[in-house]
Amino acid sequence: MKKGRTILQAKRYGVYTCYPDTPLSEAARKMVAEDISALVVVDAQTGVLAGLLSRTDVLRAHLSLDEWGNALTRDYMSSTVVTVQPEDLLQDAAQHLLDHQIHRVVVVRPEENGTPRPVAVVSAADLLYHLVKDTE
Amino acid sequence: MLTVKDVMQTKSSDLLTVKPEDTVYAALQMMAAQDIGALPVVAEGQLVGMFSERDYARKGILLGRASKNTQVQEMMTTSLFSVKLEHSLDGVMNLMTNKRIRHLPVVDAKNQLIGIISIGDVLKAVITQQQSTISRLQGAPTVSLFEQ
Repeated sequence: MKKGRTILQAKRYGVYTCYPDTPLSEAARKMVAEDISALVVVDAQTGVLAGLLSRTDVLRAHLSLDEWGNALTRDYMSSTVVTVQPEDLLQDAAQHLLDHQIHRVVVVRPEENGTPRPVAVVSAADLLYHLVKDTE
Repeated sequence: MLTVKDVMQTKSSDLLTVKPEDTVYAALQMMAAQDIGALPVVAEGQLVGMFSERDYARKGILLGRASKNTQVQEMMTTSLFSVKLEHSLDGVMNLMTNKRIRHLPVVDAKNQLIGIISIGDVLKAVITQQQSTISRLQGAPTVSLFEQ
């Protein structure tokens, strides 16, 4: 059995979210205000994971649009999101980042009905922080 | 102990740069096309700044500045940290973590830019080394950098 620290042990719960129908300008404003590089997109009714909107997605949208206009999050978010569970190991999260060449994974906790609810995000920066902490 | 040199040897030697007077729009297009999050800004062979997605997000998007009419030098970060090939990866990890830096310029003894090391590069190098250690010690107790 593999040893190591789980995401649950290492990461505090909490995610910055927006909805698929959130105007892109509003999502961009939130990213800047919170100085974060991605927002987890959740269904407005159920809170279930619907996608991920990264700073890269927003900048690419900005390049293709003259003005924000009515652009919505749903049109620019990634709907395929790599997820992990709180009991997974940090090193497994790191492996996902490398395998999929992505910058973050979303931690989801399945509800009783099995639907995934996002509870945290683990980024490359988080993993680096723990590597540094563990080697100090 | 891993060094910056070990990481740089695994990367493509192509180094993309922009000039201070290039437009932000052109820089963003290059970043989007190459799927990179930051570009070094070079003038007359000298590193003068870094321009990142974060710079644009913080200084461009909300100010409504037209990126086609704005020059990179108006938004780039000029207070820079850099590393050299012989620096240890542990030091780089500390610097990135403590200063919240995702991309660090790598310079030679004459302070000439020779590459960029990103947070993803560092993570990849550490995990790869960890896996190779585990492979070598198959069957024996392993020590993980992630262990408490």
